[in-house]
Amino acid sequence: MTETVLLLLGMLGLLFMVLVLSFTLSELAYPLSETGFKARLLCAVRRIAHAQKQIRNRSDQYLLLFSLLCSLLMFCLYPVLYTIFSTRTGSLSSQSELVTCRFAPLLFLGLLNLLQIAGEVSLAITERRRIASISLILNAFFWLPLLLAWAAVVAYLPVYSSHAVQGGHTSLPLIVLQPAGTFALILAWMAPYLLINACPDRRVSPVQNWLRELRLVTGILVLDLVAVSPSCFFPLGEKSTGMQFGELAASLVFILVLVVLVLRLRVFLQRCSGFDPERLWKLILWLALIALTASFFAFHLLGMSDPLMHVLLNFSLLAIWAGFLLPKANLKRLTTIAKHNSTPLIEDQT
Amino acid sequence: MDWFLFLKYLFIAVCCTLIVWFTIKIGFRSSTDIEAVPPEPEVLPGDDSRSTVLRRLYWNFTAVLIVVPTLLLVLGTTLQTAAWNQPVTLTLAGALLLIWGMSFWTGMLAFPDPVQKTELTDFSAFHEGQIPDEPFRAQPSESEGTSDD
Repeated sequence: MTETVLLLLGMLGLLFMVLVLSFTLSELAYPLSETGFKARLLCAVRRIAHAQKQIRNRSDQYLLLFSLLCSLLMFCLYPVLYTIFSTRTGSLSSQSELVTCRFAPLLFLGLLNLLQIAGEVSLAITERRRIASISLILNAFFWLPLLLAWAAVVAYLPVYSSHAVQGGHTSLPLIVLQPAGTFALILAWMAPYLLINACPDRRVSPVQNWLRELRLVTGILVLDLVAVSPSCFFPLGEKSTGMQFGELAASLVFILVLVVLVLRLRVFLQRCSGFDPERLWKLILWLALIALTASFFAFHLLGMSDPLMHVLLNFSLLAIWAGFLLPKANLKRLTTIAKHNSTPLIEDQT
Repeated sequence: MDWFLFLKYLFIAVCCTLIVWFTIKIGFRSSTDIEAVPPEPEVLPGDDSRSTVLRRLYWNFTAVLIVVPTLLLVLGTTLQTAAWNQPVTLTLAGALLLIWGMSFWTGMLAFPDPVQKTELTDFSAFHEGQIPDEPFRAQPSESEGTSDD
């Protein structure tokens, strides 16, 4: 009983922090009006409340509520996700349970992917008349990289079957074992956020903007847990306290890395004027397909049971992607052309 | 997690959603200092040339086809250490080849280079809108495909 109350209190505190962070991030889209942290926070909330009153369309309201529900459900399932991903036992439970069975990590990650897709699509529908490039998100093929990256990562999650990999044991997290797939998953998860924020002439509508930032924060929490979770090579049994502390520290560091990565990517894409969203999507699709093929080859054809061989294979594939395919997106050259062409625009940005 | 636990979490999430939404809507509505946003003119999505619409329709159709072998591959994770000439592994290899083939064939993986030959001198000409259409294969489904999205 006390554990439940403690859990509820902890989740409430975390929810409060997430909300405050999302309000702060959403205020970044507007020029600095207030200086103090608290004043800016109040300004952000008032702006959102003001914009909420202006949404007359009832279906828009419901869609926004649904999007908020998706991200909050993702947040509420966070403790379940944590218990599923952090404990590894070899025994099967015989009770009639929903996802505690052998495929729990696989199914749970798929469920979270579906929640992400539903939330982003319902958010994009309310904005499709305002932003021109948003019609890409409403297509089915846009979500293909997310599906493929899920399929690539799933091979490394601890799924208990008689054919599971036996061999070397290591406590390396997923991001080291399968960097290409995890990176593709992160990029595909964050792609709508990046695309919409990189659109130069968009009209920022406060409610949608705030919801997108909230989805970013909850998504980063989930992705962080997935990326530092133990893989199928993790030794069975209880973890020592030192290992638990190490995992906690690694996840905290990785959250920071993710936040910085996404915000820097967003600024970088905003600077590239004339940036084509479809090229970014194609890059992510390449990466997801490469990662899927790599996991198939490693497990099914080569049958590698040494974790370090997996690390070698996946890192070299990631390097190949970065070397051969990243230049094809022409991101860098577009920046320099924009600098030559429209110097005043760059000047007032910097 | 059993089913009722999931329902409880769903219920909590619904309550949280309503609480957060209406707290912001009702609790912070005294906002006279924020300038009134004029109602925005509604712009229809602009990039709807006919070839773009047809290509997107075609890609959507392909994406649905790609989902099936991908799910097959996900199912195959339970047979990770089977021998390479087991029928299941061969089927999975076929599914992977199908995925690659479909995405190559439809041009999803091609990077057309529209700005390759433009120099900085004729940059204005590039902005006149001579962005060439991406190599779009003529497909048999193109004739009956109408713009429906």
